[in-house]
Amino acid sequence: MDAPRIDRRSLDWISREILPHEGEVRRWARRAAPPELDVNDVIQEAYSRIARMGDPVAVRSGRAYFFTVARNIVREHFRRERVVRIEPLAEMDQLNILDDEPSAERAFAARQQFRLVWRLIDQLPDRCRGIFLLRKVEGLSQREIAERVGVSENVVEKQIALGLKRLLKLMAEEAAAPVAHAAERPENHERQVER
Amino acid sequence: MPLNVLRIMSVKSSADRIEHRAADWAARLDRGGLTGAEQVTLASWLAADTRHHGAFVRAQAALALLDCVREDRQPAPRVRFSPATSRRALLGGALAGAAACAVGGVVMLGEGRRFQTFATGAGEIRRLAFPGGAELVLDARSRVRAALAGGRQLVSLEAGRVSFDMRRGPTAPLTVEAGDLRLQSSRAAFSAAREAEKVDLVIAEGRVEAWNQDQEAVDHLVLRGGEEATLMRASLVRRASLTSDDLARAEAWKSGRLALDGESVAYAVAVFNRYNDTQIVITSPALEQQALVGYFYLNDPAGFVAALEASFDARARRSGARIVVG
Repeated sequence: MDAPRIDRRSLDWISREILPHEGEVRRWARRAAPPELDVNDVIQEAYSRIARMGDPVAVRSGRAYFFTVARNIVREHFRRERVVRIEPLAEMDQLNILDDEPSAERAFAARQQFRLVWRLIDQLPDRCRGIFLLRKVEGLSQREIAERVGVSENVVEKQIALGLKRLLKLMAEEAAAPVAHAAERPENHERQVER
Repeated sequence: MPLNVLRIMSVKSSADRIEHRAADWAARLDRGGLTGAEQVTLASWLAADTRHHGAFVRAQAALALLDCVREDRQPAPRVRFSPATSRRALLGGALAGAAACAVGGVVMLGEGRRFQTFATGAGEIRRLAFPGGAELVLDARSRVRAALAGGRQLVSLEAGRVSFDMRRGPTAPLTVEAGDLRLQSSRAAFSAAREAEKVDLVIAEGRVEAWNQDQEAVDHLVLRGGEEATLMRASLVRRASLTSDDLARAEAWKSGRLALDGESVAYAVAVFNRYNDTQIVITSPALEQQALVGYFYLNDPAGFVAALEASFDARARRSGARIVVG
């Protein structure tokens, strides 16, 4: 299995080219995956596969790649479970995945993400926010923060974990609200499957 | 207490538990200094299930998303804090000079540690090539910051003029930032000149998208080869077509020259004075109005003045760092 630490360059690429599209992939997976397949499992599995691939620079569209990986995971589940589904499979074929992602899409996704990040930071409890800002805006190490704020390193670590958990939750919940802008775009013709 | 906090408290599904464990580990790794035993524990947890690994990657990527740290610590042109955050007395002014991050679809300022600065002095033209495939020419008295990150070529135009040429082969996409303006292109040849909030674009070939990173709902401007445009504070104020002669003149600076086709002496002198420490002063209003034709070397103000003397029966004399012509 892989080493615990993934290299910085890949991580930055994932954070910039994959993460912003999580909401959209989740919304699709919620419709396309059967009820017994947890969408969170699909997402986590997708991140694992994406992290294990070779050179991220070779991939032109993070969004298309994320969708492709997620689609494969769902498809493999169907094959494994030998479930006969008619509508969801057809929907997968119809899904308009653009390999040449318009930059406006990408820009929009990243702007969403940007607002999300700052919304999260505003919502954090005081001490957690303070520590997060020292870590991420001022760039202090956890040890330096502990010294500056006058708490133990354990406390700092716990606060970082707390803030991170909230961000991850917010990223997943963001997927629940359909994005008005994306719905207007003619490229995003996806059949709505009522569940 | 807001509702979403209650939801976090009542974690039930295995995916949620995995997500939490992954966040704990990401925070632990962020602190650094894992013991041998901890490394083994982490490695075996990761190996137990690909979802563990995936969740861990996701948690680390989310943490990386928040990276707004700049290596050079220059004060950012705008600080993105909502009123609630700016009231953080807890940090006692630590927020001053913080950088914006992830704007306009590209992480620009947040990647400070990888940016290189290129600056030119008077009369200096500099060629730069990026591993990503773009070839740049930096005009005199110009400054850009550039980086190759995440498969993208990022350039921040701080002052002056720079040209980009990506026609020679498949290149990584290029994103240019100039104040609030964002430009993006994959295969074009174009130049951008910045003077504070004003940006002039000349597109020789290909397609360039332009937008204001502050305006989300507005469609991107698309410019193509043979066009020029002027933007003020990232808003279009002028747009025109160029003939191939116009284009050749517009690119003369790349070979260190000024191409004139009927522009006034006053105009030419203003350009020379931007490029050179030696300043030219015209004392005769009549001479200022005269039209000029020809190519002149920009780093040779004395040569230009000699041409004026010859063409218009003018007299020039040196006075310190100035050439006075009347």
